[in-house]
Amino acid sequence: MYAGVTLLYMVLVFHFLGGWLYELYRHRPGLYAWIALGLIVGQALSLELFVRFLFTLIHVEVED
Amino acid sequence: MWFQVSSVHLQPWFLILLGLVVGVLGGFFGVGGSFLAGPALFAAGVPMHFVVGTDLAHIVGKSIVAAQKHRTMGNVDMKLGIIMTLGTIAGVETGAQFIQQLKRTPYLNLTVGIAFVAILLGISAFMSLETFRTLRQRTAKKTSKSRSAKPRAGQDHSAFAAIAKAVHRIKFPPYVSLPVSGVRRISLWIILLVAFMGGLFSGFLGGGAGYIRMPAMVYLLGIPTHVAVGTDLFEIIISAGYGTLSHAFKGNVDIMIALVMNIGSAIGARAGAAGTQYFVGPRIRLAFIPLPLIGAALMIHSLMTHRH
Repeated sequence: MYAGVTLLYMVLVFHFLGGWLYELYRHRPGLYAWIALGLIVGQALSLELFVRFLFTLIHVEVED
Repeated sequence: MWFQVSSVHLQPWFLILLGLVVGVLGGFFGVGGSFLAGPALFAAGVPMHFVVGTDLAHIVGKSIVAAQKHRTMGNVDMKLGIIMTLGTIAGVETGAQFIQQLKRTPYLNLTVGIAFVAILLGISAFMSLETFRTLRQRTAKKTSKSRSAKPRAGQDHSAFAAIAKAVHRIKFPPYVSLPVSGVRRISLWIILLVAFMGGLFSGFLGGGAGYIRMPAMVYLLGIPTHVAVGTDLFEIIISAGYGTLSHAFKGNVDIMIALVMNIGSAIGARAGAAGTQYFVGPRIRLAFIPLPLIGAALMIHSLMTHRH
C-alpha cells in the first residue's frame, strides 16, 4: 500500500512540479529555496501521518 | 530519471533504497546519515555542491520523523537542543560561505572530499578506542561483581567520562543546567562552541554533521547516548532546515532528489528510532564505528576514479 501510494505521488510530483521547480530554480532562487523547504517538511509530515495510519491498520488487523 | 536542476540521471529505486538505509541508521544513531548518503550521491554522479545542499534538504525530512519517535520515548532534551541550534546556525552559515569560496576554484571536490575522509577516519578511530575500553571495563566489573551488574537497555557509561567531567568544571559564565541530560552545571559557551563546530562541518561537508555532534555531545558535554541521539535529531531539523535554505539560495539544492530519497527514509527513520530502546549506550556506539569507515571508503573510491 505504501509503495503504491508513494509511487503514484512520485509520478504526480514529477509530472506537475518538475518543470515548474526548474524554472523557479533558474529565475527565482529565493522563492525556490522557501518552496523547497516547505515541500520537504510537508512531505515528511504527510508521510509520518500516513505511516502511522498504516501501522494502526496493521495493529487492528492483528487484533482481529 | 532525469533531474533537471542538478543535470544528472539517477534511478529512483537507488534514491529510495539509499533513503531507507540512511533513515534506519539516522533513527538509530541520531545522525543525518550524510557520511553514507553524501559519498553515495557523489559516486552516482551528483556534483559535490549539489551533494552538500541536497543532502541537507533530505535530512530535514528524515529527522522530523525520527525526532518525533525519540520524543515519545523521552530521549529529547529540548533546552539543550534549542541552545545548540543557535551555535549550529552560525556554524552552518560559515561552512556554506566556505563552499561558496571554493566553488570559484577547481579544488572544491578534492578539498571537501579529503576533509570528509579525514574527519570520518578520525571519528571512527576515537570511537573505537573509547568503546572497546568501556566494554572491557564493564566486562571486568561484571566478572568481579557477579550478576548484579547486568546491563539494561538505555543504561550508559563511558571510559572517557573524565573528559566530560573536566569540561563541566570549566569556569566560563554564564552557566546552564540540563536536568533531562543529568548535567548539573555547564558553561553556555562550551555548548555553543560544540554546536558551532558541528554546524561548520554541516555547512561545509553537508548533512547534519551528527557524526561529529553526537560523539561530541557524549564525550565533551557528558550527555547520555540515548538523549544525545534524540536531541541531536531535534536540533538537526532546525539547523539542517536553515542549511537547506542557505544552500538553496546559493543554487546548491536539487529538491526533487531529496523528495525521492525521503520516501525511503520516512519508513527507515521510524524503524531505526524504535531500535534504540533495545540496546545499551556503548553497544550503540560500537555499532556506529564501521559506518564512517564505509563513508570514507566510498569517498576515497570516488576521488580516485575521478568521476567528476
